[in-house]
Amino acid sequence: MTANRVYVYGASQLSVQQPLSEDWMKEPIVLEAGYNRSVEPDYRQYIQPLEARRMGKLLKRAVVVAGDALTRAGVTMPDAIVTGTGLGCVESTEFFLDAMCREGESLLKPTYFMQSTHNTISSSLAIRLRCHGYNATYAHKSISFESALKDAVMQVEEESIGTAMVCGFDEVTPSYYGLLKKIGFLGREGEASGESAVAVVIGGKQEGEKAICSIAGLKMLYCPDYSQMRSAVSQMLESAGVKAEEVGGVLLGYNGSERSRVLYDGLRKGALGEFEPLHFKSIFGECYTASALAFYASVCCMAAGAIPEVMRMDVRGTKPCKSILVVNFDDEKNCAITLLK
Amino acid sequence: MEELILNLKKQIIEVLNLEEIKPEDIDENAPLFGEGLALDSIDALELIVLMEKNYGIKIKDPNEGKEIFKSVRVMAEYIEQHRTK
Repeated sequence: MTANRVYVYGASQLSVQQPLSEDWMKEPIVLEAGYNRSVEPDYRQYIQPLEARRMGKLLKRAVVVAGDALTRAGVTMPDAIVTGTGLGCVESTEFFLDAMCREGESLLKPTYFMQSTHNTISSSLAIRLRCHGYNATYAHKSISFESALKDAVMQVEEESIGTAMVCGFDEVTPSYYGLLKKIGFLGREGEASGESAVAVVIGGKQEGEKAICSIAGLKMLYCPDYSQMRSAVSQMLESAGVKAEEVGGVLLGYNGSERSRVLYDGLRKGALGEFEPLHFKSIFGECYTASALAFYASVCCMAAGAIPEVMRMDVRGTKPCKSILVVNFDDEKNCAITLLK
Repeated sequence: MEELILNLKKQIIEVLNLEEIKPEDIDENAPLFGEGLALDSIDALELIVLMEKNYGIKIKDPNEGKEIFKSVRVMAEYIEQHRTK
């Protein structure tokens, strides 16, 4: 049995760049190394105050970005909502834990408790949309988004569902940034932090010309060496019928730190030498689901048919884009390879 | 009583995060649930926490809560009779 092809119908973002916009492709907001927060839209345009009162920042972002992605895709009700998040609603978790430290385990606010679980975001989107379909959340550190995407893609391929909204959400609060800096995940010299709220609508059957591109490959490897990665990429290109020279570039997780430079320089030399390196974290910053922003950026390149200058590391000017790779090896153990065509 | 009602309105606005609502917008005789502020079951939990935290009143029976949270005035009357702080 041949698996169904999976297409991307729409994608949207709220991040450190202009909200719900692709302005970053031409004039990105310049990120400073260190701590950065998302640019918020005017939520009153999208959410009634009585509804918004119980939502933390990340939940508001999720609601708005999901609505925008569905509108762009022309889908009113997805069959499934699958979310990847490294940390969930950290702000609510902090409020809840602060209150617990201050007042003990009694008299804690139920709203913060409910919102401090990782799956709050995906389920809140379902409640708001009245979507009774499949709903799942993956919290797998830096491959949370790809895990969610893989789940949705497999279900579309098997025709269990027709459409799915796949999301990647993470917020970084000032205090959590401090903690992540202490453990060495964020805040290395030269590195800019960011936040992600990305929603992507995928589906199985191409309806007219609405699909932007297809997800031609998605593979996750655990602790691969360069030769395994090289072979995974070659097999992916071969089965998708894509020649290496047709790949516009490969998005890599260079985030300005020395660690990421060494990591991804090694990866390029060892496994991805034939592809032009592209960066996205200098535009969107670093967080657990930064790869959701890489996927979104790739979809934008496919929609535009060109890779913008702001993403190119070595060469100036735009470059045609018929297909594009995303390789996420941020934690040096889990490797996710995605091919769009 | 009027001072207690005003304080209660301010506390409800704070714990339920009713940012756009001012104390004078809340009719103390209007139902809190269904109509009026149209609060829901999660708000009821927040109000139970508010009662215990601010006035030392523990509400254990949900049916009792239904009566107490009928309106801001009913809440204030109950608080005046049962408060321990």
